[in-house]
Amino acid sequence: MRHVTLYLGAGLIGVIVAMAVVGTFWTPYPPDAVVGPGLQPPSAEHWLGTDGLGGDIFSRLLSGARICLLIGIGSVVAAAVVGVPVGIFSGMVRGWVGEIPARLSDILYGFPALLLAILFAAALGGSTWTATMAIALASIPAFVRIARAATLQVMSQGYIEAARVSGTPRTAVAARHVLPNIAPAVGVQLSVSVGLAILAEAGLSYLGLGSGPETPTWGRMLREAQTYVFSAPQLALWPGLAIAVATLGFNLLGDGLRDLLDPRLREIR
Amino acid sequence: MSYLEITDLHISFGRHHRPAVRGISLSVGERDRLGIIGQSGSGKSVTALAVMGLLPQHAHVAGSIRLAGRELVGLPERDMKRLRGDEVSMIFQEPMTALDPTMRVGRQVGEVVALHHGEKRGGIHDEVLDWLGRVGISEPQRIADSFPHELSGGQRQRALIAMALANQPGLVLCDEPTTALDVLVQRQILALLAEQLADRAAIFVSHDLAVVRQVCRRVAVMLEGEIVEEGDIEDVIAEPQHPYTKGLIASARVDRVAPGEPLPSVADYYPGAAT
Repeated sequence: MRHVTLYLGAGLIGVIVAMAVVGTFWTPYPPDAVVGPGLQPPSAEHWLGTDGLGGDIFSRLLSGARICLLIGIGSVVAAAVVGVPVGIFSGMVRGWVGEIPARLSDILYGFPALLLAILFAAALGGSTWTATMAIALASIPAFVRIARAATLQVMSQGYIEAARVSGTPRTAVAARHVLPNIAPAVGVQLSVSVGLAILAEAGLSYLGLGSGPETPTWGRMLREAQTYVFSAPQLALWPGLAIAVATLGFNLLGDGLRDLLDPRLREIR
Repeated sequence: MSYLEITDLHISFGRHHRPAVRGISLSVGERDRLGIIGQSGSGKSVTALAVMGLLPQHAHVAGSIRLAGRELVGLPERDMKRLRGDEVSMIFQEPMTALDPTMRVGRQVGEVVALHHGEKRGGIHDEVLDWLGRVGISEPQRIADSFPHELSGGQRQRALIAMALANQPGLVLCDEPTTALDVLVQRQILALLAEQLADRAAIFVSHDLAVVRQVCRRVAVMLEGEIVEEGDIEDVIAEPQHPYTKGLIASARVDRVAPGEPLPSVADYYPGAAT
């Protein structure tokens, strides 16, 4: 079958999206309340059992899907909105003026996302917002890089020269010729970055640098499961599985898109 | 006075000032068509790019290029941008890459039309179809709605010609516009160019004397950055003066070679040309 990775990735993302949609309108129990005795095994009342404090795991998992997607997609879209124009600028402007933003973004690349998040949390206190901002900031360089590389390639094409010859202003060239032609590369990067962002968000929540206790994120669920890892290992299983499915889904989608959009592969078909 | 006047133009590249054009002078009248013949690296395309102001930043230009009395050497990019398309435009060699693959052909032509039309967007659609028709495209509406990859090489080159002519520039530079096309289409495009360029100035860069002969009355032969011969194209063909030109003409006359004999090459006449 053709495009297996694409469909598999889209399917896994579909599961997470469905969880987020359902979790927004309905959960079996309130996700942030004590609804029964703690550490119960799965039963008809609590499908995935209860956690250490007596919260319903299934409800918390459903409600965590929304925050995971919101932070993952929100931070990456914000990073793309900043990074792509910078990358296009740096690819279109020749000489040192174009080099500067590219080198600055390389410096930013040098900081691990986690380090940035710890800096942010230390300065502003851990919250959903600081986690989103830290992940967004850490995702920018990837977009600058991919947009710049793709722009450099597009700029060597005849139609760019043709546009210049007819006197098209540079901003119009960027918007009408460069952006549509680098869109495939940016799209692939979007998908891959969302996967990484979800993983980063889980990591931050796990360390207590993300959303507060009132928000049941998957990373926070993992952190709480840590206490009972020997007595009740299934507590870590469900949020861990959810994080894996979401990250894998976006990565597979990115790979599938790359195969689908790669011009060299397109020639063969 | 001529429309384009190039005087003692020198162009060199990079830190070591590698020379590409060494002091050429040319003039093109208002309705004059000049052919520039030369092999790869002779400086013909660089000369055309210099007129467009499209040389890379590391190029050094000295001398004078005057277009309709205005000096172009040293003209700021902001002013040069205004001239491109309006006063001078260019037709490229590669119709495959000169059209944006993500944009419908009609929009690409329309973009050029709109640039120099200001705000009145209303009449653009009709003008685009009009131009596509004028360059010999038989179903303008269908072609306008197509993407470049859905067009044949000849149709793409016609669309590019429409884009180059859409703003009625006074001077059109053609950089080997038929090299990528097969012989039949080449002849149609040359006929179209001869017709469309009739009432403006044009420079036609090529390595093919036969192609230039169909469009231009005058020809300049370039070799290693210099003009070695210039004159009426029929005179040059009948009585070439420079050994390099003699070689060019002899190598084009394949019919005069007996079967089994080696083909004449330019190097037989001008050893320096062998590269």
